[in-house]
Amino acid sequence: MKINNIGFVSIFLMLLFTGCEKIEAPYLINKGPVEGGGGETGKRVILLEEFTGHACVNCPEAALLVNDLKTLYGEQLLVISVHAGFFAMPLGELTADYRTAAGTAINDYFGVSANPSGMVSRRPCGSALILGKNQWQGAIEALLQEDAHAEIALESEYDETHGTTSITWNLRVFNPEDDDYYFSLVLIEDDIVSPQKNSNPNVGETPIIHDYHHRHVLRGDINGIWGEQVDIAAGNQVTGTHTYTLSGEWEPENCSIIGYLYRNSTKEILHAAEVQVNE
Amino acid sequence: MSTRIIIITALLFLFNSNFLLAQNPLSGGQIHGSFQTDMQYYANDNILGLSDSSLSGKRLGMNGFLDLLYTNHDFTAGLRYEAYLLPMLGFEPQHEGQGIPYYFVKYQKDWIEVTAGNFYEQFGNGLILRTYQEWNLGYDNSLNGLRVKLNPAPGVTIKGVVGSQRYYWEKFSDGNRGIVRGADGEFYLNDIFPLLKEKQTQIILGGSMVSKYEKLTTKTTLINDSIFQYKLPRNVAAFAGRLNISHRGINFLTEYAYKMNNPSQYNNFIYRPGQALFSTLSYSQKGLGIILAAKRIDNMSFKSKMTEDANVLDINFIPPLTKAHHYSLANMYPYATQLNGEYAFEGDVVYTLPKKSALGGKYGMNIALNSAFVFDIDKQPVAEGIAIGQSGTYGYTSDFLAPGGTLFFREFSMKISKKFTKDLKGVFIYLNQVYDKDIIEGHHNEYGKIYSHIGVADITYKLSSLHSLRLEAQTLLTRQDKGNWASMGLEYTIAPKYFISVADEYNYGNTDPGSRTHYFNVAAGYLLNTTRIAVAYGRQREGIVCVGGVCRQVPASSGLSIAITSSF
Repeated sequence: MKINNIGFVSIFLMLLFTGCEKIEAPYLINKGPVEGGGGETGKRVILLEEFTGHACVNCPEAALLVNDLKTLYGEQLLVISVHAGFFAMPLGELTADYRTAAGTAINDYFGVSANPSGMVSRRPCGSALILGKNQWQGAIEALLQEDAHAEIALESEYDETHGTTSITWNLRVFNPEDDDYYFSLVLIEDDIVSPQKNSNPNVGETPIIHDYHHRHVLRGDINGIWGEQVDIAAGNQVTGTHTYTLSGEWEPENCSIIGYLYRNSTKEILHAAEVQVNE
Repeated sequence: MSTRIIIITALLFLFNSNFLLAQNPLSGGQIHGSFQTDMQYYANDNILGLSDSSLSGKRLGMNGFLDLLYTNHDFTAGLRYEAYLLPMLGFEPQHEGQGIPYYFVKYQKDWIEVTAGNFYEQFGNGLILRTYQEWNLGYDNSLNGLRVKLNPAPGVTIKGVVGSQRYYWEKFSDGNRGIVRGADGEFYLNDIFPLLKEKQTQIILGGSMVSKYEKLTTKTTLINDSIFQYKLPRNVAAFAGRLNISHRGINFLTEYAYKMNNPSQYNNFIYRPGQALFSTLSYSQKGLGIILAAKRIDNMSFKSKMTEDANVLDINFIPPLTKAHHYSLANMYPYATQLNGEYAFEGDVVYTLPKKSALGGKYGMNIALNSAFVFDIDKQPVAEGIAIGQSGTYGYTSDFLAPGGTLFFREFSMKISKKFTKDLKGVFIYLNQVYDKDIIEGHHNEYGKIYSHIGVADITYKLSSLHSLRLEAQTLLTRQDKGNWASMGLEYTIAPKYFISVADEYNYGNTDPGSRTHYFNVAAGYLLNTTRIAVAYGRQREGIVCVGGVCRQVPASSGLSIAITSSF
C-alpha cells in the first residue's frame, strides 16, 4: 500500500509543479510605433479575402479589425472585400449592389455561408479554410515570416480619356512544384460610401450607418474569374498585358489592381501584389 | 469495402499485440457495437430560399458512425468509425471526412486501470475537466493520450490524465493545440474511516487540478499607432474542490473552481482569473423530489487552444441550470451557457399524487414544476478609461455576491402527466420564458428579449393492445422575433414494429406575411429488435439544438431524410 500511495502522490506533485504560470501586469509589451510599411523584400505578401455584405450587421466591426491589420502589417497584407451571397443583395434602402461574377463564384466555390468571414491566402488554419474574424490575425501571423514563393511586378497606365487602364505584369516562381499555377488580376475600389447595417453602437450608428465607407471592394476580374494559367519553369519570367475599362461610376483615384498567384490543386495564394490604377 | 478492411485491420492489430497474446484474448471475449447513420437529400425550396446556388451542389448530407467495443476479462478495446460525407447542414464543414478518430485499449487489474488512446473523462462536475461526445451536436472533445486510475485504498480514487483533444480530423502536431494534464482525487470518507462506516450520513470529498500547455504564440495589437505584444502564458492551470454530503433523502453537493490567468479569444484576451461555484441541494422521498441549484460562473471558458472561440477544444464543462425540453416549440429558444459570466438559480419539484386520491384519481397524477433564472454577473471597470472586458487588461472587477443587472434567461414550467383511463393518457405543459436573444446567440442589439408563452398537449389513445394514436399539439405565443407559432402532429403506432406520423409547424404570427411558413413533415419507421429505420420527408425550420447548454445552429432545410440505428 505504501508503494501505491507514493504513486498517486507523485502524480499530483508532478502536475502541481508543471502547470502554473502567473502573468503580472502590464500585460502588453510596447514594441514601438508602427513603421508604416512592412512589405519586407523577399517576404510573402498575404492576401485576405474578406467576405462581407451591406446587410451583415457584424461586418462593420470586422472592417475595423481589417483596418488595424492593414496598419499592423502594411504592404505585407493586401485585402479584397468580396460582397457576395445573401448579405450583399440589395434590400430596402440598401440599394447598392457590389456583387460581381468573380466574387459570387469564389463565395460559392469555397462554400462561404456566414459573414463576416475570410480566407487568409486560402491557407487552411487547422482544418478550416473559411475563418471567423477572430482567427484572421493568427492566420496572418502564421504566414508572416514565410519567404516569398514568387515575385510579382505590376504596372498600370491609366488613360483618363477612355477610362481604361493598361496593366503589365511580370512574375517569377522561385521553386515551382509539379502543379498548375494560375494568376488572377482583379480591380478593387476603396472608400465607396453607401448604407451598411450595423448592430454595434461602438462602431457606428445602429441599425444602419448611412454614410458608411466601404473599403477594398472587389469590382471585377480582369483576366477571368479564376485568372489565367501561367506556364512556369524554374527561374523563368512570365509576363502579360491586359486592358481594362473602368465603370464611369468608379473613382479611378480610389481604384487599384491586385494580382495574385495561386496553386490550382489547393487554390492557396502564394504571393500577391497591388498597384494603383492611376499610379 | 475499404471501411470494413480498416475496421477489421484495426481490430486484428489490437487483438494480436504481444501483450494481448499473453492473455489469450480470443477466449471469453465479447464484442458489442452500435451503428447510426443519418442521411438527408436536400431539395430546392423557394420559400426557404434553398436553390442550386445556395446549396452549392451539396445535395446529400450523411453523418454516420459505428462503435465497436471488445471486452475480455480485465481488458477492453474499442474504436469508433465516423463518416461525414458530406456533413449534414448545420454541422461544421471541418467534419467532412471519414476515418477512425477514436480508439483505445484499457487494462484493469487490482487497484490500477490504465487507458491508452482516446478516452472521455470528467473530474467532479466537470468545472475544470470534462471530455465527452454528443453526436447530435457533432461535438467531441475526447482526449488522446494516457489515463491512469488508481484505487490505492478503500474509498480512495485517484485519476491522472495527459493528452491532446480531438479537433475534427486534424492530427495533433507541434503547436496546433495544447496538451492537457490533470489529476483528480476522490475520497469517500465512510469507506476510509471505520467510525463512519455504518453512519447514514455519507461524505465524499474531492479535489482536482488541470493544466494546459500550449506552445507560445504571438499576438499583437495596435494602440495609438504603436504595436503592443501580449504576454501570453504557456501553462494555464485550474483547480477545483468539491464536497458531497448525503443523509437519507437529502443530498448537498458543492464544487468551487479557480482558473488562473487565461487570456484567450473567448474572453477577448483579458487576464482576470476565472471562478466557478456550483451547488445543489436535493431532497427525495416516495412521490416527491425537490432540487434547488445555484451557480456563479466568471470567465470560465477553458480551451486547449487560446485562439479558438467555437464549440471545440473545451477542456471543461459548466453544467446548465435550465431544463431540457423534448417538444419542438419548447425548444425554440434554448439557453446556452454564458461562460464569460452568469449567475443561475434553478428550482425543481416533482410530485406524484397517489392513485385513488381526490386529485390523483384512479391512476394518480404526476406534477413537475421548474423555474430557472440566469443573470449577468456584476462587472466593473478596473480603472477609469478602461472599458469592461478590454483586451490586454485585467478585464473587470466583480463583487462575487452581486448579480449583474441583465437578465439573460428566465423560465417557469409546469408539466402534468395524467392517465385518464386504461386507454387514454396525456402530458400537458405550460412554459413561460424570457430569452435574451442578443446575449445568448451573440448578436449586438438586434433582437432584444423575447417573451413567450408555450403550451403543449400530448395525448395518447390506445386503440387496442397493439395500436395507438398520439396527438401532439403545441403553441408558442410571442410578440417578438418571428411571432406566434402553432404545431400539430399525429402519430399512429403499431407496436412494436411500425409507426407513421404527420406533423406541421406553422409560423402564423410572423409580421411578414411572406414568412408565414408551414413546416410540414411526414415520417414512417420500422423497428425490429435493436434496429430502427425511419424515413421522413418535409421541411425543417432553422433553429438551435442544445445539449447541456452547448448549442449549434441548424439552418432551414427541405427534403428526404433517412435514419438507421442498430446495436448488438
